Amino acid sequence: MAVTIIRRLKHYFITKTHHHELRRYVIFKGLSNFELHLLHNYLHRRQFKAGDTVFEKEYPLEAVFFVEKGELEVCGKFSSGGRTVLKRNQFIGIIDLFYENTRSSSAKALTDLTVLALSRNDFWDLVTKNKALGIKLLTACCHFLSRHIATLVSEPEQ
Amino acid sequence: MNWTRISFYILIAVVIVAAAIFYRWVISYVLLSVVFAYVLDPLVSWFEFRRVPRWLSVLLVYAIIAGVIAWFSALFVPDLVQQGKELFDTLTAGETSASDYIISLPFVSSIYQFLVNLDSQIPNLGLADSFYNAIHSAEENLGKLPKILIDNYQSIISTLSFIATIPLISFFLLMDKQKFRKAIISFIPNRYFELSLILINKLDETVGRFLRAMIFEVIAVSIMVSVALSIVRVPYSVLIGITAGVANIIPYFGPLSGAAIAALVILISGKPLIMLLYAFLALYLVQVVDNNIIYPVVVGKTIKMHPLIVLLTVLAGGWFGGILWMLISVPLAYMVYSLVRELYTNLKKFRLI
Repeated sequence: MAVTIIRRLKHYFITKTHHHELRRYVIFKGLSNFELHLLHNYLHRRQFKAGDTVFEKEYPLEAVFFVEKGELEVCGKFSSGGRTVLKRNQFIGIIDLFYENTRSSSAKALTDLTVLALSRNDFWDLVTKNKALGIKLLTACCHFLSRHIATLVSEPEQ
Repeated sequence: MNWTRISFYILIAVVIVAAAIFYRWVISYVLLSVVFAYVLDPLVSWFEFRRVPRWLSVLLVYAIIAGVIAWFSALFVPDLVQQGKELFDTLTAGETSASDYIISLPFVSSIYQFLVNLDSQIPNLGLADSFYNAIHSAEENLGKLPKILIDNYQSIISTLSFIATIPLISFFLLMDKQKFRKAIISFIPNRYFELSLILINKLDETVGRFLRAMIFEVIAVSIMVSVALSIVRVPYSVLIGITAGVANIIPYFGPLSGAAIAALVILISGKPLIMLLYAFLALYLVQVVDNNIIYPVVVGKTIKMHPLIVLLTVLAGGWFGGILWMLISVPLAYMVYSLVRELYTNLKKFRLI
C-alpha cells in the first residue's frame, strides 16, 4: 500500500524528462535528466529550406544553433579553412557568445535543416539560476573551446 | 501567384478577426492575468529550479501570497476600518449636520468668514452660499454611499468575479509559460527569429522589472508613510499612507498628492497647523528614502521623463480611462518607449530598415 502511494507521489512530483537526445551535443553531455528538462524549456525548434540564410556576418548574436537534422555551412574567421559544414549533433554560436555581441561568421542551410536554438539571454538565465547546471554548462563550453583552439593551432602543421 | 497560399492567408485573417470579436470581452481579463503572471514568475521559477514541479510551484506561490495578504490584513485592516469609520462618522453623523460640522472647523471657518466678508462688500456675489452648498452636496453624496453600493450590487459582484478569475487564468499562464512563449515564437518567420528573441527578452525584462518594482514600491511607501505619519500623530495615517503609496506610482505628482491629502485631513480634523509642517517633513523623509534607496535598488534606474511629459501623460491617461489609467499611464508610456527604442536599434542592426 505504502509503496503504491510513494510510487503515485513520485509519478506526480518528480519531473520526468524525455530529452535524453540532447546529450548528443557535447556541451549537454553531463547534464542530469532534471537539468535537461530545464534546458528543453528554453530551446526553440526552427526549420530552414536548403539555401536559406540562417544568419549573416555582423548580425547581432542572440541564438546558439544546434543542428538536429541536415547540413549547415558556416563561413567565418573561426572556422577551419574559413568554411565548415556542420552536421547532426554539432552547433554554432558558442565562440561568439563569449567573444562579442555580433556574428563573426555567416551560415546557410546546405540541405533542408532543422536546428534547436537557445537564446543568449536564456543561456545566461540557466547558468545563473541553477548553479550546478551553470558550472556543468560552462565547464563543457571550456572543454569545447579548448579542443577547438587546439584544432585551429594544429592545422598549419598538417 | 500561389492561390492556395493566398486562400490560406485569407482564412487565417478571417479566423483572427472572428477570434478577436468572440474573445473581446475577456481581453481585459487576459491582460491583467498576464500582468499578474509577470509579477509572480521569478518566484515560480525559483521553486522550479529547485526541483519543484511547475504546477506545484505556482500553487506554493499562491499560498505564500494568500498568507502575506492575510498577515497584512490582520495587521492593517482593523486600523483601516476603524479610521474609515471615524472619518465616515465625522462626515455623516452628530447632532449638527456634517456640513455645519465642517464649516465649524477652524481652518474652514476662517475661509467661510472671509467669503462672508467678501459677500458683504461686493453685492450679489454669494460666494459664501456657494461654498456652503458645495460642502452640503458633498455630504449628501456621502450619505447616498450605502444606497449606491446596493444599487450597483451586480457590478460589484462582477468586479469580484473579475478579481477571482485573474489568479485562475494566471495559473495556466504561469504553469505553461514556456509552452506559450515557444508557440508565439514558432509563428515568427526565420528572418525575424533572433530579433523576436531579443524583443521578447527585452519585454520580459522591462515589463517584469517595472511591474514588480511598482508593486514593491507601493507597499514600501504605504508602510513608510503610515509609520511616519503615525509618529507625528497625523490622524487616519494608514488611510493616507495607502493612498499616498498608490499615488506614488506617478512620478513627481504622486508624492504631491499624498502630501495634499495629508494636509486636507489635518485641516478638516481641526489639528494645530504646526502639524502640517511635521507631516510634510515626514513625507519628505519618506521620499528621500524612496528616491535614494528603494527605487534605485528595486528598479535599477528611474523613469527619466521630463515633468511636462509626465504631466501630459497623466492627463491623457485620466481622460482616456479615469484614475486607474492615470496611475498606469506613465509606466506604460515608458515601457512602450523603451520597447520601440529597442525595436528601432535592432531593426537597424539586423539591416531590416
